[in-house]
Amino acid sequence: MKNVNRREALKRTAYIMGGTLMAPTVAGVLNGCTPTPKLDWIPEFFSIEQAKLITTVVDVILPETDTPAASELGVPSFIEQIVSSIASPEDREKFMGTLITFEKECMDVTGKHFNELEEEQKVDFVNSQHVRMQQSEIDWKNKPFILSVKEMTIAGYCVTEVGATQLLQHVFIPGEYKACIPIEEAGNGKTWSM
Amino acid sequence: MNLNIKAKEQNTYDAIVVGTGISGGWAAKELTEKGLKTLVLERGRNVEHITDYPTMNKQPWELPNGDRLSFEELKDYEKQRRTGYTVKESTKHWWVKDIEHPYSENKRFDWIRGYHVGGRSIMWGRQSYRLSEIDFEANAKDGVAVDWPIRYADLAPWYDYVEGFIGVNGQKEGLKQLPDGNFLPPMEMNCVEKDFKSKLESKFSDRMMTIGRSANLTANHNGRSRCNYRNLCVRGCPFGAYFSSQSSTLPAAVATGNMTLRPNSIVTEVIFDTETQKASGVRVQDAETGEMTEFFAKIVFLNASALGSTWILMNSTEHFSDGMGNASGALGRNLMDHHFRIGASATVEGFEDKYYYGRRPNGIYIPRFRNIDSKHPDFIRGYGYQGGGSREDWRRNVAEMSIGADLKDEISIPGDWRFGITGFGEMLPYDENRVTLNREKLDKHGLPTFTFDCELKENEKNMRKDMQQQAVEMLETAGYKNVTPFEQSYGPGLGIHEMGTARMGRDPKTSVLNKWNQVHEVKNVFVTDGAAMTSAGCQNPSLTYMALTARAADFAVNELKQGNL
Repeated sequence: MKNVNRREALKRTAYIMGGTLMAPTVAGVLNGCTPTPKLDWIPEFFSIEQAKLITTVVDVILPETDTPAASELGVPSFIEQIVSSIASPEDREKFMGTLITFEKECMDVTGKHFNELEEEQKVDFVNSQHVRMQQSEIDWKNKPFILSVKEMTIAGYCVTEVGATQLLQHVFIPGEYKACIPIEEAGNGKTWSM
Repeated sequence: MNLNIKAKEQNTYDAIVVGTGISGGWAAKELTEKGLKTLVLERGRNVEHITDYPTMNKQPWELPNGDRLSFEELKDYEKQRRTGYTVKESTKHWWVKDIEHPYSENKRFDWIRGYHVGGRSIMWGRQSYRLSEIDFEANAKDGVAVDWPIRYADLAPWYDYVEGFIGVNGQKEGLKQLPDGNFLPPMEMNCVEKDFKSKLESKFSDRMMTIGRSANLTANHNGRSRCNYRNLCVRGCPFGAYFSSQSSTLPAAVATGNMTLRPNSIVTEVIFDTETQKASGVRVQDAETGEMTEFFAKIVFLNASALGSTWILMNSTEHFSDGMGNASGALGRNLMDHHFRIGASATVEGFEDKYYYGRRPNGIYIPRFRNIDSKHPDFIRGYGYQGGGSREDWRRNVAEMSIGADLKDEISIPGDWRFGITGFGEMLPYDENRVTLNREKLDKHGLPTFTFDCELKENEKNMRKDMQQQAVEMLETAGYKNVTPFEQSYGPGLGIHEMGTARMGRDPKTSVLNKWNQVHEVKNVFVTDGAAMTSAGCQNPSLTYMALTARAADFAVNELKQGNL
């Protein structure tokens, strides 16, 4: 199933199976096709394994819906740029430390490296990390991996052309200002991109 | 000998203007329109209107890394970056590199600046307020520093004049502490801003809120087109819809045929003629080649920015060991700024079905209400608030948002309405808040640098407490939720309203400039930028520099005609 994106794959699978498959099974079917995410960029700072892990995580955070998944918009390489060249060396080190913690916790919980998990297990583990982050007091000076990646994923997604114009709405030259209007009259009513 | 005479003739003008920013552009326009052959010197590179705004049409996705600069590159802007908003991929070409233009800090001072034609008129915040009689009387009434040598009536017609030319939008309110101007139609407040205004004014009899007064055109004006509500002013405007030297004053000066603009020309000193006891011109170091050239004129306007003009006077030591115009010892002293970055924000409920269209390059303004009709026990003078309301976008609290497809839905729906205000407070003039010339540490041109010694004192610190308390109280009284006070790191200068250091005054023994902005001791040298300020008020100051410049230029030309200069 080379060159078929996940959404297309899901549709096809549903068609083949008569649309009766439960989601986890679908994930299992897909897993057979693409056991690990493919990278559409060559990481220079992250290792291949780290890049694959981050690619998976960003797609759990912002998966494909009627708009593309984060990885399809180059979010993983955006994150690599932020971590490797925008962040201070101190913040970079902290982030890489949280990545190791994330991996270690995955090993503790599942007995496997994150990248070796089934697709469904990866999603479950990322979600469990997210739930735990939301349930605990956040130490903003030592943000957990899931929160840093979530922040960078949203920021990276929303500054892409697709993110700005499809997930959000984007008018570069509004031409006029309407201060207080019904939301449905403010373009298509979605959040403004800028 | 003949060659020298010829060279001198070629380098001789009626007037020299040093600087092309907000006040320099005005000096250039006024002097050339009054018929003076004027040389306009700019230390930085040339910037042509529109063609030299490289990022003005860049989409968010065309700017690398979400418009962020790399950690390595930011090291060049160690001080310029202290604002947190100035140095980005889309704006980095407007700010000096601190590694090339260093300065020293006995105490933290944030000197945020750009060296190019147009100066900070390109990047300024465009808020345009008049000082009032209360401000001009303040020093005399409080027994602070020295008295302003002018009153509001001296400047009022010049405020009218400059507003009429540049175009300032605003709402007339009839306030004695914030005089009305010659306004273009006001911008509109959004739903929560209107809500806050009505609640504030019904619950606090001494306070009101108005829409910001900004130098953005709300209607076509003087051949320039109106605002298109992109709110990307800082990159340079393709419509020329906000005031900058490029969009407004320099084209007027060019149109006269009387202006010669010379970029890359660092004025190192004003030349003093001991026979006439006047300035004969300026000495210029070419920023690219280092070559020195002298230019001559009957009058010299220093508009190099508050600290730039003071630097030139301090460095003019050929006949003045402590700097030109410094017999009083006041040169470099009474450095001021507006202290800010303290206030509060809150969530506003009840307008979930409302939104806005377009990006208004302007906010709301709550004019000063302290020490006007009553006296505050803890401080003199006052502060105003700037701020606004908006709906949260994708930058809102990431930790609390959901994950997966639900997160996408959440992001695509406008978030809570938030309303926030930040105080801008008056800083008193203090003799000991000063800059001195440092001849040990040199910049990339081999020229002396500044050492700063400036701090907030008790009056400002007490005022800041009130700025925060009142912000919280007003938002809570309005019934808003999650009222959150904030105070962010502030160092003097961060307001980018640095001013003073060559103050106007009545007495040559205690001031540098007289009531016409003439250097007391060298009458054909005028300083009409922020250096001239005798006190700071709490209003954004650029409009006052424009009015002072137009007034002084008118005076200078009349004096020239009468043979007095």
